[in-house]
Amino acid sequence: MIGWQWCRARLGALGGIPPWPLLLTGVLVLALVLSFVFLARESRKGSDSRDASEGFELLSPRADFPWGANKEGENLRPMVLAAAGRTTVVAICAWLIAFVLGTILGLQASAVPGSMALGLLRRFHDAWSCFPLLFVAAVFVLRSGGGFMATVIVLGLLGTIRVSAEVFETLRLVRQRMFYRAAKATGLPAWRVWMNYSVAHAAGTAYSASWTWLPAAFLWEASLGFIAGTQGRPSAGLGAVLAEGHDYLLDAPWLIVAPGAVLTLLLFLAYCGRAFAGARLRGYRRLLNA
Amino acid sequence: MQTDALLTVIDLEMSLPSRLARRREILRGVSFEIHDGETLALLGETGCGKSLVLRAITGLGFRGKTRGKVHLRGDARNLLKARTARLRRLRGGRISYLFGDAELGLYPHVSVGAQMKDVLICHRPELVDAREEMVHWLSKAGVPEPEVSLTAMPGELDSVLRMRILIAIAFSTLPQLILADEPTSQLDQASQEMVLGLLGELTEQTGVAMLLTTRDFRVAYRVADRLALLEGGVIVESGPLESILNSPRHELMRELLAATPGIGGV
Repeated sequence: MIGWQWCRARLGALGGIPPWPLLLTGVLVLALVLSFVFLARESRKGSDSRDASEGFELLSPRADFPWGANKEGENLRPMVLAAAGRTTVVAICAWLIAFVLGTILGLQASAVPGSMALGLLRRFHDAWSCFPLLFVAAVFVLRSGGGFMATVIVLGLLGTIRVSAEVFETLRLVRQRMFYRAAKATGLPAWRVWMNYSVAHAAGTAYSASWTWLPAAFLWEASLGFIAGTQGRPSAGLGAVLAEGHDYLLDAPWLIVAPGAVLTLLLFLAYCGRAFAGARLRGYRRLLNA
Repeated sequence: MQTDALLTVIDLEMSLPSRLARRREILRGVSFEIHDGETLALLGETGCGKSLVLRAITGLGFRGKTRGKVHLRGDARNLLKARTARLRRLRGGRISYLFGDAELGLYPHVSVGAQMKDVLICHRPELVDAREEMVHWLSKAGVPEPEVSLTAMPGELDSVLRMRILIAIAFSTLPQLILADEPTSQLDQASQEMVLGLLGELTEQTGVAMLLTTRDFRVAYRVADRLALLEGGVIVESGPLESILNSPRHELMRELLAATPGIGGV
């Protein structure tokens, strides 16, 4: 009888690999193929609609609109700034979700060995490490209509996987460190050692990993917008604006340059913010310990 | 065995899981006792199981299985079978553990004062002014400017100062027994002398007993009242320092003595 046990025995025999990564691999490869098919179909729809709107004029940057204008003659600057605002809000919301949920999940997985949270965390992190999850995320976002909440939740959950894995790994390493054993040897209650040493040690990791996720969330939101994963105008993100300009790359390069420069600036600010806030927090930590 | 001993260890055995054999015997039939104010040095080569004896006494995490008896005076129950909560009360309370690695014995991201206060409040909740007590013990341990050191992070201090602070923390809870796990292994010759002098001075002042592990005969010679030589997890020779110096029985002890300049060697 071919059943779960039969599959498990055969799959498990392949080079000693446990069966679940192989099954997960199969499922995700299938998801990847389906996402490619879906995106190709969406792309074809977009090109059909573009063909129907012939006969427009591309206005280059001028004194009254220095960032240029789009094919409808609309000033690009307010459009790009609004798109940057949407991308920023999405990225910050996703970052907050990743920080809070990731830290809680990482702490819970570390505190309770063999918990369901730990199992889920490990499996999702393996998937994260092995597959371009952007496509899977794009399918989810696209299927849900590319709304604000859907994008935030998908990006937040993807960040959660990364942050929780980092927190969990940090806590696992902390337990092997001499100072942790030294703290236990002083007879402090377990919860106190955990709070004072493990959680305090993991706080930096959670902060760092989630801040690393912020620029990534900017890029992911823009990428999803670029492949038509999120909503179009008037609530378009930078990716959607870039996608519009991408069609006229040679005829109107300003359509790419303005949103591209703003996206680069946002990424730069996100990275700088991480460094500055980190230095600032170190100062506060020093004050708290005084 | 005398019943007035502070710590009595009888036939301590420990085995660890092994890939090659079903279990690997690490300690076999280790027996000794420590009296008030006495310093016993567990001497042995690296990997002979010295630190595991200390960890077995305090129940600090390892995957080994233990057998035998470990008794603290005034408590009839076997420490090897004690619950975690009871062991936790003992650790830092009646028994202080002194880690030899001063670099890693203190948490790097919390100030010295906060760490010391945590331990003090945990074991001496009756203290009215913990800060004053901390300053007192830091001064006793020879920490210059103890008030300033309380606010310092461990990374800002040198290893000798960190060792002094670890010693101050170990003594500040007023223990009956100090377990010192190779306290001088990471230090240079001059610092070793300083730390051993400090340990000797504080144990004499407070009347605390000390079980010290070392692989250096000079360290044992400097502080110990009695010696126990551990080889392959078995105590092969033990006795008062003077008698061992005069007539070592075991071959390894004779070799150690011969290899130590100024004591048994040239």
